[in-house]
Order: sequence, then structure tokens, then C-alpha cells
Amino acid sequence: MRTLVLQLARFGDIYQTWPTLRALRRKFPDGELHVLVRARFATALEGFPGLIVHQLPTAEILGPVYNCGDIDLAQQELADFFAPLSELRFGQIVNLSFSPVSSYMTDLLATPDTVVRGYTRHSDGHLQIPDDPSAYFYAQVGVGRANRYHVTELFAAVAKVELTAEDFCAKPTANPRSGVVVHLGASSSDKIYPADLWVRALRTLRLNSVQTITLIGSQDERAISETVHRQLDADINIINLVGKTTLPALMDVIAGAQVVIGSDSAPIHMAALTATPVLNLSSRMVNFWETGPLTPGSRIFFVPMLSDLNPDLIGLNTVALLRGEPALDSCIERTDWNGPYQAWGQSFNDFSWQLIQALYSSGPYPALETKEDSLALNRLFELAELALMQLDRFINSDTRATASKILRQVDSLLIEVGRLEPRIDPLVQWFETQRLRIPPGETAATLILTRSLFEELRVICSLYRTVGNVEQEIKKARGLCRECVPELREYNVAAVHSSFYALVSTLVELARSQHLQKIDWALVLGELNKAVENGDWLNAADILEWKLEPAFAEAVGEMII
Amino acid sequence: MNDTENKLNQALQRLQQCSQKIVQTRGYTMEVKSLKILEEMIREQMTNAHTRPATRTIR
Repeated sequence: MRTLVLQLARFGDIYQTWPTLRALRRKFPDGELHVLVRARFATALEGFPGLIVHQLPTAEILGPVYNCGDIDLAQQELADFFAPLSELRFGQIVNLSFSPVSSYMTDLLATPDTVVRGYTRHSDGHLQIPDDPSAYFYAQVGVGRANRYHVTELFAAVAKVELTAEDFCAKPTANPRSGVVVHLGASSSDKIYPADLWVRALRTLRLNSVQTITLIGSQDERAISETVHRQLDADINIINLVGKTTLPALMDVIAGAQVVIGSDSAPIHMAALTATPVLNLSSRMVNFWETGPLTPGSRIFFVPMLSDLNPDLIGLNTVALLRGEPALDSCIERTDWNGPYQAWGQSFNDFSWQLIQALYSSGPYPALETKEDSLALNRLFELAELALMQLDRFINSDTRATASKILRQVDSLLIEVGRLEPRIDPLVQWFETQRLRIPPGETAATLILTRSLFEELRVICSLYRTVGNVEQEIKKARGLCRECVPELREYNVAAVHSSFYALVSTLVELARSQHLQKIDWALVLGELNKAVENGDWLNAADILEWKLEPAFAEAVGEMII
Repeated sequence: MNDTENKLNQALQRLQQCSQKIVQTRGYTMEVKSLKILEEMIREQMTNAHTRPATRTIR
């Protein structure tokens, strides 16, 4: 198998791709493993044996545009770069970049026989997300979102490989390790801890007998390192390597350290490959759940803004980490390379994360916590109902134009509900992404797929819906039962598809309402679900006709009395 | 807007027009694919995509 991995991101993401590349090598031991990276970041693959690295020459390709606005020449440069790559006719392309440009590149390089994972393009040029992990990435990953899967895991999932502990052992570590390595800078200013606070943190380290402190960083970070170095007392043994090391040399430095201290940047991802524990300074500007340190024993100190972090506590907690003692403050800890982060003394938005797990991993749907959540989910339910009505009207050419207009309104309102109530936004994002994944095709087929998705959204929202008029809902359910049963008995599911899912959604609401306690809802809904999964429509009809309808009839009778 | 931004903007507009015309007449061809790559590479330059991790780029 000849595999191409596209990784067009920066140093940090490239290092987070190493375990996936190692797993791909293990999965295809005799195959060729090619990687496409931007030329500027290609050094992050130095030290990885046996890779065939292709460097995207952005400067050369765009040079003619910058110099004289010459698009034709730029196009020629692009063609010259991609022609030999196309000739390789890759058996598999794994796009780990999640960007528009990478999706077009994947599409350009894929042959009809290529297995593609990650973003690519449909035959009409629209974005295609062929695999579930990439769809998850599209919907849920990013700063400020509720995702808690680490990008390293997600990269592996996109590539369809299982990671093992050995995939993280890229470098033999020094024995014994010594000293503390500090990365003062970061790739963007909002991730940088202030220089004066670094000085205090490093002084605390020295006061607690840490002998050697090595500063690391790129050429661009020389200013902050010199500022910090200048302000430290002469008796602190500082080795300033900022701007003086290559990336492979930096990996050696990190491999020899007892602890690395730094914010979310490439060195902490290099530490994951050398089993070096990290004391990570984290804030809202990043998402530690998805890009935090992975070495077991690593600790994350999270504050809204990095400048809120007490420098003395950085020093004292580093000493605690060195001595194998518990953290002195609330923190998030990595106890296992593939386990989740453990939050000690800090709480995070669990509702949204549980909602994500319910949507993607069959976890239980979380209980409502706020009135706003309830309102937002009710609005989504109503929007789903409205959309389903309009989809029915869409079939009729007389009402199509109006239905189409209302459906567009529904689309924008769905997004608005997610924006106004971010806690339920994972549901909106999931729905929007699944809609985006509907492939180009005939209108009728697209309508069926769109309808199914809205029905699914309605069922999910109905889990949270409070029944206003129980009698009315029971009558509705009874009517739907009567409508569906004869058709289900004939296996004519298509004829009552929409009524059946409306019934399921009503049943879910009634189950929550506590009014029909004679019905063992868990049992009945479980049996119904199983019948649907097995396509056993006779059994489904039996459940509706013999278990539910009589109970509804009795309940309505009782209410009238 | 400086000279470089001007050039990038003009190039972007031309690329968009070219690819649109081809899509309308011949569909989504190989030529459109490479025009789109160029278009997106320029867009990345204009939005300073290089300064942000790709896990957070425009989706």
C-alpha cells in the first residue's frame, strides 16, 4: 500500500501526527509512507526514519502572484509540483489537515481506486467528509468547544489505526534525566506567559534547589528569553538555547529533561514523544483537552488568562512534580497515555461533553441543568417539526418556493439557537455536519436523507421536551399507531415513514411525562427500537397494536371520566 | 490596503471568475481543482492562516 498523509499544519500538529505515522508504518510494514507538509514546517519530520517527505513550496507557487500578479505562472508552478505526486497513484490518502486547500489537494491526487480518509471533494466540487472521525472533527473540534478527544487520538481515528504506547516512543530517553526545560514563548502572543512572571517562577525553582534550567525556543522568541535571562540573579544556572537549536536537537534536550514547562506549543508535543512529563500552562485561548500534554504524570494548570497564573505556584508545583508529590493546587492531570485527563478541584462544562458522547458514542443523554437548555432544545424541536412540514410541501411544485424559503429560515434559526445557547451547540453542529455530508444526487434522494436527519433531530430533542397537553399527545400517538400498524404489517414502511418517526418522537415525550405509568416505557421503547433495528416490522406493529394502543385507549378513557 | 494585499485580492477575484466560468461550462474539472487550490492558498495568506494552528482554520 502506498499511503500519502497530508499534514499542512504547523510544528505542533506535525508532532502530534507522529504516533499516527508510526501506527500506519506498523499497519503497512511493506508499504511506502509519504507525507505532504508545508516546506516551512518540514523540519518537524526530521528524525522520523523511512518517510518520504514532500514539501509544499508555498513561496515558489505564490511567488508569481506576489511579484507581478501572474496567475498563469503560479498555476504552472502548482502543476509542476503536483504532477509527479499524481503519478505515484496513491492507494490511500489520509488528509489530517481539515482545511479547504487540503480537501482540494486530496481530490486532485486521488485516483478512482484511492481510499480517501479526511476531507476531500464531491464530484461537483462540494466538500466531502467521507469518514465519521473527520465529520466529528468538522463539527466539534476547536477552541471554546466542548470536545474532549485529543487531536492525536482523532488523527489516528481518521487514519483508521489503533495507537499503542510504543507509537509515543519516538526517541530513546536519557537515563538519568536531569534539569528542567522551559519554553517561554508560544506560536501566538495570547498563549505567552508574561516575562516578569516567568522571572518569579524561575526564581522559585532555584530557591527550591533546582540546579539546571534550560530555556528553549525559536529565533523569534529570543527577545523574551533575553529579557527573562537578564532579570534573573547571577547565581541561577541558566542555559539559554533559545534560537540556537535545530528541532531534532531540541528533541534531544527535551528527552534528557526531568520536566518541561510551557504553554500549548510544539515542545509539549515533542515531550509526548520522549515520555517527558510536562507542567503545562493553559488558558481559554487553547483547548487543553484536545492539544494538552500526553505524557503520563503531566499536569495542566488552567486559568482563564495566562497572566492570572501565580508564578510562585508554577515554581512550587514544578518541584512537586519533580519529587513525585501531589500537585499543590487544583489541576488537570494525565495519568495514562491513552486515558482521559483527570480534573482535580476544577469543574468544566460536562453537559455539552455528555451530549457529544450521546451523539457519537451511544452514551446516555445528559439530564437538563438549566432553563435555557430546556428552552433551546424546545426551539430546536419546533424547528425540526416546521422543517418536516416544509419538506412535505416541497414535493408539491405549487408550494415548493414558499417551502424552500421557510427551510432556509429554519437553517439560519438552527444555527442561531446554537449560538445563543452554546451548551447545546454540539447538537446543532452534529446536525449541520450530517446534513453537509448528504452527497449530491437526485432531489428525491436528497429529500429522503434530509427528512431522516430532521426526524432524528426531532427524536433527540423530544427527549428533553415537556408535554404540554398530555391528553392531546396521547390522542396523537393513538392516531399515529392506527395509521402505521396496517402499513407496517404489509412491510410498506415507506408509506408511513414520516408518521412512524413522529410517533417515536411522541412516545419518547410521553415516556418522560410520567403520566402513563402503567406502561413499562423502558421495555416497550427498547423492544420497538430492536424491532426497527432488525427490520422486524411485524413485531413493531404488534407492539403498537397490542401494547400501546390499548394503553392509550384506556388512558384517554380515564381522562374523559 | 497595501500593494501586496491588492495583488492577492485581484488574483483571488480572477481565480474565482475563471473557476466559476469553467464549472458553468464544463463542470468540476481537473483545471478547476488546481484553480481552487491556488485560490485557497491565497485565501490562507490573506487570513494569516499560517499564524494559527490548522486545527482551527476556517472550516
